[in-house]
Amino acid sequence: MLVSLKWLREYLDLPTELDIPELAELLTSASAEVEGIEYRGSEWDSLIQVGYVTDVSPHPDADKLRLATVDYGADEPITVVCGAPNLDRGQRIAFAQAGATVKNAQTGDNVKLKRAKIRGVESSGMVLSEAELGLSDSHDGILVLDKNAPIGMKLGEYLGDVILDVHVWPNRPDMMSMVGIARELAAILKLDLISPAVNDLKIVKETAAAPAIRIADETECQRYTGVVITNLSTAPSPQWMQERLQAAGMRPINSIVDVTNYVMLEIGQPLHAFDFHRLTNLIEVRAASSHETITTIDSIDRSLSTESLVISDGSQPIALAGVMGGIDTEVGNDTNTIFLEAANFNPIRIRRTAQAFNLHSEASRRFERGLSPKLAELAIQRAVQIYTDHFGGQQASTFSDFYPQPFNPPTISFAPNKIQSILGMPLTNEEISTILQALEYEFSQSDELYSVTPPLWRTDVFRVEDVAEDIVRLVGYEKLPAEPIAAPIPLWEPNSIKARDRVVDAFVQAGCQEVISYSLTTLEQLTKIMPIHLIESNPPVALQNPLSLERSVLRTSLRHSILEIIAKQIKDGTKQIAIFEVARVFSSNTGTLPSEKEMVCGAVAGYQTDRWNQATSESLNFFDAKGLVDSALSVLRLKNIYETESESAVSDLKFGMTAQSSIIKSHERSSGVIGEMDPKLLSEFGIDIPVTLFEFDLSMILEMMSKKTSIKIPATTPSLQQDISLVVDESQSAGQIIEIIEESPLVTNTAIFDIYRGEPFEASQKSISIRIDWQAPNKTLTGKEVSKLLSRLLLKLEKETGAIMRT
Amino acid sequence: MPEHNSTTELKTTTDQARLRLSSLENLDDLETWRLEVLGRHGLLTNLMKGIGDLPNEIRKEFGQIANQERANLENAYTNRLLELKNTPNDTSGVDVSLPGRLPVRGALHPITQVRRQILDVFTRLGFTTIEGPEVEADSYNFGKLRIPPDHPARDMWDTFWLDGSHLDEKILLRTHTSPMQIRYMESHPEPPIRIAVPGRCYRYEATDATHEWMLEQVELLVIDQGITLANLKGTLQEWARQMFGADRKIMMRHSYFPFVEPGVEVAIDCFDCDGSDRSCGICRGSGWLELLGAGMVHPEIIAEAGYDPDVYSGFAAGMGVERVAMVLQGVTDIRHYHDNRHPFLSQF
Repeated sequence: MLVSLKWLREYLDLPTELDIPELAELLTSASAEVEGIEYRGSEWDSLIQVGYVTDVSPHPDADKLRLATVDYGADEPITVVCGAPNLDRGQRIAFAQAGATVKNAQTGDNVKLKRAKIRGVESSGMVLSEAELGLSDSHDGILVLDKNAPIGMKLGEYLGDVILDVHVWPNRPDMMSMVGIARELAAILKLDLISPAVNDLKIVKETAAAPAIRIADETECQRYTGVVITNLSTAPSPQWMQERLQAAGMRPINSIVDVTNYVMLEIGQPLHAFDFHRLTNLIEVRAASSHETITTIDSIDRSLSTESLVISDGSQPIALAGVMGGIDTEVGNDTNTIFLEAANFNPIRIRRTAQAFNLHSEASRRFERGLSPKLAELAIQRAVQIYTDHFGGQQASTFSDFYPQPFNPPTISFAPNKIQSILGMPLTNEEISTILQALEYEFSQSDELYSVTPPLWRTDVFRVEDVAEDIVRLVGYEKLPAEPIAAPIPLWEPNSIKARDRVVDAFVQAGCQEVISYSLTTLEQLTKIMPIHLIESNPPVALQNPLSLERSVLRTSLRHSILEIIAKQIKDGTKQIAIFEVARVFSSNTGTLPSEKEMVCGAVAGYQTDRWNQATSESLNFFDAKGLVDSALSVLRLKNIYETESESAVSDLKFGMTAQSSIIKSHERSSGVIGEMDPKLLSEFGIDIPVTLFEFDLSMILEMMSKKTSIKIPATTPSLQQDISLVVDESQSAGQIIEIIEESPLVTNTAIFDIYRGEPFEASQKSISIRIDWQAPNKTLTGKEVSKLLSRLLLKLEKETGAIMRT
Repeated sequence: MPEHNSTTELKTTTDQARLRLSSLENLDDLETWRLEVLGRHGLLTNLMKGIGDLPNEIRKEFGQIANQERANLENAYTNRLLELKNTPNDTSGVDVSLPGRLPVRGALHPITQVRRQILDVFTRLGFTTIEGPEVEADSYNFGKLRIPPDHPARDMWDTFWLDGSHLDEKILLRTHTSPMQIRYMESHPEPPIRIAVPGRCYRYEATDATHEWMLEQVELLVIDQGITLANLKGTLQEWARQMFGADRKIMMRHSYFPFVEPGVEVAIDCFDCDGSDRSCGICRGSGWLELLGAGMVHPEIIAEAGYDPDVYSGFAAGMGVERVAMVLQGVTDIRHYHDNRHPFLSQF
């Protein structure tokens, strides 16, 4: 809401010199957030002043130009050339002397006015339009000021203003008005509120009967008031009113409509003026039926649904209640008598209607917050007063008031120390009662009980906590003490968050950079990284209202996200990439919320580095990634078994991977997968270098981490080392051989240190060289004992893998 | 007892070796010396070879002296070795300013770092960390938090709605971590409650330098006997001190969230300029950094959980991790965090 400080001064005796940012901060702290401050007119040149047009005469050489004689407070009036059609003698206008800086009406740029000859006539000044002042784009004519504007006053002083952009919280519809803001400021600054003048309604001569009001369902419209006003016209409203409407961001239309908007801005209650002669004798408030239509005042035909609330004349809708009027009953050029409506519509209905038609108006914004029904009557009184005082209007009917269930704010009773115990701060009775009085609560107290009743315009106060908030925001939060919680710490509850942190840390320690990527993606991206039958059997949950097509479904995998980041980093020129993410994937469920599963996914790509940390031409490969994964999982005390193709069936997990891939097992369970990605799949992500990707189900890792593992105490006896070379078939995995060796008694460590293919072995063979450490916990092993153990081991190896020791 | 010739010879030989040792100036010469004197085929070994030919009465003495001399020479050798190694006698070709050999570096994402930092403080203050679903039912994200359908406060949380036509109720991507207030209370028949809830949230809004449609929050919920608004201030004040420095102060301002009453917004005083710099890039000259929304848990929500609102009260707070991270790390555009570019991430 835009709040003009100049207008605000009408209701508050604010000091002339005001620290505006401080005022804004006070309002923000206690009431409503000031989101912006605009110093309107502060940029106007001091050579722009209020001028008075003493005479207008034709230009001797140009039909469309005229000569204006302007008194701007100088000794001599000045004559300038003016092309505006609305120039007239007797006007007060904005006058810029030569030398003043104004805006170019077309470009908006600042230009310095120069003395010039226009069609042979000397002109050393200019009568300005709104565009030339930067007030609006309007350049159809000059800006005409109020007839009371003081001649010669600097325009910045006369028209300048400070506009506060105030964000009113949704529970405070009473603050959506000048009076509402003034009332809050009065309480904050301890000033008196100067309420706008309102007299009781008084019929001069009853010449018309207001339409009968029929409301079948009073939950749709809690109150409907109206009155007929005659003797009006649609002449423009006076400049002061137009200025205020403009300051609040509204466009002046004509005096009848302007008054309705003016009163809404002032008091907060929306009003609607129907052309009385275009109404029937019935006003009905009801839900629309689905086949009905209405043409609203913006000339748009709208099909209605039963969601919308309408005003009907008994046969057809004549307005979208609380949102926009209909064109058929609109105030037109010939209107002189109106039926003025001030109602209290069901907020939900108004909100739905405004949303359905995307018609969020100043009126709907107020209605949907739930206005006090009290305001309707007040607004009618105020509008009648303005129509009467300023426009010669006359009240022509009695005041109609449909109000079956008058609204009464609740009376709230509480123990004297209750406010203090909610806030945790000491307060005297006097402090509390002073604030409640400033906010116009009714207040009574006995020794045992306080009873308070909020004022009629407040619709947000129901219980003592609401009262406590009113107290503390006006006392000032800075006075609230900061107290630690005195209660004992509740029992800790087991959870897996620390364990997950350890997994994340393990990958970081292994040299992997954690990333955080978006949970939303597209079906197309998912199709690239998982088999189609998985997508068909488990379609991703789709968004109903995606922000963009690139973010339209919840991801069921992290793989595409990792590959997208790899592609981006390669493009960036990053030479060595090792990234991972721990995040949720989603899959739909029947009957319940989608299930969420945490996954670990990462990848390695790029190049080995040399002594100078520079990328070499040698790519990081499967074994770099495998080493990283092993390093990470060893920190978690997990030992992995990598299953080769021959042992495990082709798995969905290996989708999009080359033969250089493996299911990872820990503690006999499949926990994940690692594999080099297929270049064809990579090319779909714009990647043209090898990438090895790994993926785990986090819950599997956590489950295995929770298993107890025993610690081996290092022996102090000397160990014996022996190197052997085994000749095996090419298809034999080294992993199985190592597994067999490590199961053998007294073997404490193994390491593969060479693979050899070629002479003298057959093409289908390879030789694996392995270093074995032997150690007995309690004695020194002799060479003889080790030879015995080894020959037993070799027998086993030959039996199970066909390995022959190379001698 | 007169010295035997062989003993004298032994001493002369070892004295000469010792003399030579002190004149050696590099490790190569030293190694040559070691082989010549102490080596398996060196001087001392050769001298010892003759021991069998010596008369019995001398043999023992000779042996003792020889062993003594060997020990002395070995000692002298070790000393000279250390001297030579520690002498910067040859600085040519040594340049310690050359780059070190870098191991592969991994790091936590900056948001993870800040999230953990936040949670660490609250853990010290006795909060248990729990998590909840990112996909939520309308009732948990809104209804049970006193934000019914068609409430204007819904405008404060623009929402991604999900396809869930087969379900009883509308489902969505949670717009805040506050639904876990409800879920936790429902699963806990009695207070006390003191929890911190981290997690991803989603807002249907356009992205700019300070807004992202995906964000992380940390929610706080405390319910116990006698919890006051002053406790909220005290808890957040202590958090701010531990996060941003011992001198930090917090400021509360009036705010509105349907699930708390009173509701506040909380800012800390600018740790960069202490509010003294009108052109400060961190606080934009205001002196304050808005960080979170909070308030006293609405009594209706406490009652709905089955707790007696006359006995129990509580506070709740929700902060954006990215917002805290931006302030802490001096990052001016939130979009960097999910861009995952190496030049950005490698700085944390």
